[in-house]
Parts: sequence; C-alpha cells; structure tokens
Amino acid sequence: MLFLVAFVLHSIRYLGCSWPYTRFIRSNGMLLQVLEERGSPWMISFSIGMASRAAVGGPVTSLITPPDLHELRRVAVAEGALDPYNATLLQQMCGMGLEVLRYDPVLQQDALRLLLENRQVLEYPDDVYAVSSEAQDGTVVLFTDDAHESVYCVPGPIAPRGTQP
Amino acid sequence: MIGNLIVACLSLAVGWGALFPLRRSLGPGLYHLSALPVGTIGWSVVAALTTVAEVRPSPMWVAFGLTVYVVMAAAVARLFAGTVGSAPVSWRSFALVGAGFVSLSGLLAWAGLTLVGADSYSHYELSGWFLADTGRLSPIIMGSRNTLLPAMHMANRIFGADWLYVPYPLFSANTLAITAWVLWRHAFVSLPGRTRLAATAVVAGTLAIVPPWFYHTWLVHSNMASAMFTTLALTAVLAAAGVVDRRAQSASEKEVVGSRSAALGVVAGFALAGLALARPDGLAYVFQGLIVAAVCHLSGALSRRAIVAAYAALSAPLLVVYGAAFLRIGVWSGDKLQGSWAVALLGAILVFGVLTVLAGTIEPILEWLRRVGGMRLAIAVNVLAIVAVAATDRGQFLFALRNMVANLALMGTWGLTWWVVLLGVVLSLVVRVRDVEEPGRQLLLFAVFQFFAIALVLHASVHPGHISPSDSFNRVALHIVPTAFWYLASYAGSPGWSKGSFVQLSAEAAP
Repeated sequence: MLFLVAFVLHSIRYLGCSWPYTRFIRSNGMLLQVLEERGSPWMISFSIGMASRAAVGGPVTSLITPPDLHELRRVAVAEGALDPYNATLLQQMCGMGLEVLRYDPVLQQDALRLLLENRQVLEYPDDVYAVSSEAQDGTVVLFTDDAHESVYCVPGPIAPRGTQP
Repeated sequence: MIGNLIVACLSLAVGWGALFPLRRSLGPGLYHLSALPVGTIGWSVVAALTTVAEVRPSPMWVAFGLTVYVVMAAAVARLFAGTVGSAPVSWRSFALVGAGFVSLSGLLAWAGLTLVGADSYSHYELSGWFLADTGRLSPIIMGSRNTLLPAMHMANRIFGADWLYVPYPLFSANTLAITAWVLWRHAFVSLPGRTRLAATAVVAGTLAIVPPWFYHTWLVHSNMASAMFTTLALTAVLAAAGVVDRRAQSASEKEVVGSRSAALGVVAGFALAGLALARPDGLAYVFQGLIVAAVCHLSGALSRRAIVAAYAALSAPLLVVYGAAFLRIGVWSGDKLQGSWAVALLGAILVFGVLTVLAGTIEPILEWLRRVGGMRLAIAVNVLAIVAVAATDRGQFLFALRNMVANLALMGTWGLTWWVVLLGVVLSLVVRVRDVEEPGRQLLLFAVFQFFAIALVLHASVHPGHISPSDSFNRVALHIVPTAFWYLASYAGSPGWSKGSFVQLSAEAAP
C-alpha cells in the first residue's frame, strides 16, 4: 500500500512539476490554429498547401513547384527544403500529385503588381499568399518576389507564364 | 467541433450495431466496453470502400461504408452468438451509456484540450485530409500510419471539422474502464465489497496518472488506440479462457462462461483487427493476442470454436481493408510497413491460425504439447527468435536493447513506472501465492513477456530507435501497461494472502 501511495505521489509530482511533454493547446478545432500555437519546422509547407487550396477553392489537381523551397523563400527554410518529407506533406495536403519543375519562380515587381491587381489575396503564416481567381483549372503554380521574401500560390489560368513556366 | 462529436458518437453506435447479436452473451459490461473499439474499425472500412470505388468520400459514402461494416461484423458475430446469456442488456443501459458518452464527448469538444506532436499534424491529420480529398488509400498511408486513424480524421473533415482530438481521450477512458472491469471481476474479486471498490478505483486511477498515459490521453497519435485494442483483446481472450470468471461454481454459471467463450473470441478478433489497422506495426503485435489464445487453446482452456471465432472476426476487416489496398495500389513500398511485409504477416497470421487449430485437433500433438506445456514452448520459441535476431546483427540488437531499457528506466518520462512493475514482477516470482487464480496470473505475465519479446525482435530487426520520450518503442510500451497493472493487481489481490497459502521459493526449494 505504501508502495502504491509513493508511486501515486511520484506521478502527481512528475506531472505537476516536471511536465516533460509539449504544452497543452486549447484547440478551436482548426488545424491552422493548432499549428500556429505549437509551431512547426515545416510551417511553410503547410502554409503553401493551405494557400494553394484556398487559391483554387478546394483540392488542388496539380501543384507546380521548383525543386527547392529556397528558390521561393530564403529565410527560415532548411537547405533543400522540398525534400521528400515536405513533398509528402504538400502532396497529402493538396490531395494530388506534386509536379516539381525546373523553372524561374521569381516575378519582377511589375509582373507581381500586374498579377495582384484587383485580386483578393489571403495571407498565411511564413509570408505565403493565396491569390484567388474566378478562372480555375485546379492547378496552382508557386512564385516568389524578386527579394525571395514571399510565396504566391497562383491558380494556373492566371499564372504569369502559364502552367508549364 | 461538431465533426469530432459525430465521429465519436458514430463510432460507439457502429460498435453497438456490430456486436448487437452478442449482447446477451457478453453481458452489459463487456458489450458496452467493446462497442467503441469495435466501432472505430468501421472508419477503415469506409476508406477501403471509397478506395475500391475510386470516389471522393461524402456523408453518403460514410453511411454506406459504416452500414457495410455493421452488417459484416454483425454477420460474423451472429455466427458465434451463444444461446445462454450472462445478463440481458437493457435499453436503459443503452440510454445511460449513450447519454454519458455524448456528455463526455461534448465536454471534451468544448474543452478543446489537445496535445500535438509532429506526427499528429504531419501524418494523421494530413493522411485524413488526403483521404477526404481523394478517397484513396495511398502507399504513404498504408506504409506510414495504416488506415484506422487517418480514416477517422477523414471523417472529421467530411463532417466539416478541421482537427480531430475528441476520440483520443475517449480511447483512454474506454481503456481505463476495461481495466477497471478486469480489476473488479478478476484481480480484486475476493476482496470484501468496499475494499474491492476502493482497490479497483485506486489502481485504475493510478494508471490514469502514469505520466505517459496521461500524455497519450490527449496526444493525437496511435498509441492510446493501440493500448485500447491490446487491452480489450487480452481481456476477451482471458475471459474466453475462463480466467476472469474462474470462480464460477454452479452448473448454470459454468454454462454461461462456456457459452460466452465464442462470443468473447469474436470480440478478441475484432480488437486484434483494430490493433492491426491502428499502426503500421500492428500486424506484428497481433501475434501477442494470437499466441496467448493459442496457449489457452492448447491447454484446453479455450475452445476451438472461440479460436475460429477470433480468426473470423480478425480476418473480416483485414480482408476488406488490405484487399482494397492491394487491389488499388498493389504491393506498396512504404516507410514503415512495406506491402511485401504486410503480405508476409497476413500469411503468417493465417498459417498460425491453421496450425493452432490443427495442433488442438491431432491428439498425439496435443498430448505432447500438454506434456511440454504450451506456454513453456512459446517462451522457448520467443527466446530462440530473440537469440536469432541478436546473432544476425549483434551491434544493432544491443543498440536497440540499450535504447529500450534506457527509455523505460530513465529517459522515457516513465518516472518510477517500470521500476515499480519490475519490482512487483520479481516479488511475485519470489513470493508466490498458490490459489485458484495462479494459472490466470501466469497467462497475464506471459502476455506481458510476449509483448516485449515481439517488441524486441521488431525493434532490433528493423527499427532500433533512439533514447528519447518520442522513441517508437517508448510509446509502444504504453500498450501493455494496463495488462502489467492487471497482473500486479491480481497478485496483490490474491485470495491466497488471507489463507496464508503463499510460498517462498527459497522455502519451497528447501528439503
């Protein structure tokens, strides 16, 4: 009996004082809130996935991305960031095949201004933006600005260089 | 939030429907305790059907898939429903359990408390998202996380929610309730009324605050679900073998125990199917329950009908889910569970079942097994398997063993848990208590041993892990904690103590 009492007291003390686990999150039922509260080393992939869905209003049939996320955004992303794991995250989140192409994802200021003009833009964590359009074919192409600071998820029909940039 | 509530409540309702033909055989306690685990398997069947039909799941597909599962499971259950019931399951009990379950689910949904690991959002949630978008089981899902939890996350999205968290504490509560049931019915059955109640509450409460248990109660991961399936499977196997109600004395009591054996076999089979679908290594851990059942069968404690019932219930969901996966994605290449390994393990389960039934049928083999002792033989085979793995790659074996021991003893956030369990086990082996419960206790200890033997072979062969609370084996060890508590409680609560029939081995060995 003494053994049991000692064990119970130990567990209570351990849970109460040490708490070696991740902290509790009070969820409002939304994944984005959970991710923002907890933080994630793959946050940019989640943002791209969610922004791409928002850009086409649902699952994405094809997400066109350069092979390295550094080409899109230079800060806070691990080297070679579109590794198989990140690719898996994006693939699962968008419910489609991921198309990794070698292309220049940089949009110069004029092209970017033209793209964003009169369009609704939604912001996601890590400076990722969803550009919405009425013209949809389920395809999303990823672009960045010339400072490589922001990522733009652009529906295929309005992508500056088409869906095979 | 509403998606969380719908998924939780549908799981219970589906379990009620699936086990409905067995309600009289199981009695109200086990019937209601088995409903949530058995019901959750239905989500895997929904994902399997949308995979075969190649459709994006909708509420209609959820209704169709769950109905198919209920009909299939109830048909299996109907085949093995006993004619003699232990106690009727009244409609009042449905209302009480249902109201309690809905209230608890509502409270959990409102509280919103959740713990999140990287796997929670990058695997379970995203695999669910992928399923909700496409309805397709993928190599990533089959190879990394298996189907059960991603399918629940899928359903949550179909019903308009975004983050599934309510079922996890419900799994914990259900497992604690099963543990309390076995403590009450078996471990502390010989204690007087209030002491029995207090002992049951204290031990179940102690389990609830074991640090990793408390953590996994809220964590979105597979371990609490697996602990629930493991505990239910062993409870059902040992109840079917008459361990739980060993003290049935009268002819009518014995008839009830005998009659419910096959029904309990069905529950054990479904629980093992749930375990096989809850994790990529679930197919390997299924052997723990199967080997314990085989030992019981070969010792004459478990009928052939119960063994067949368990295999029928285990096979039905696995056939549907793995059949769908093999049909649409072939023999996949995966991160943790390769398609070829799944084929091998499914084949091994089938072969083991056939061998178990054959060994129990052929008289000379049965006689030899009884002479040698099924449990002793199983221990010897386990030891041989461990030695073979160690001989194959000694370095990796020692590395895996070091990680496992270091995590359980020091670094895995278990506190004193495994020290207490080890001390209790050693004490129980040194100071033995001779009573009617001893064979049951031996089976419980064997089940714990069998679990660790499988874990050691598995981790030393393919996944040596690392020293960290998040290590795979460190989390997997949670699955067996209720059984270890059950063993220690049945030792502490033995009627032999009051009769002075304990034996010190040293004294026993003396001339």
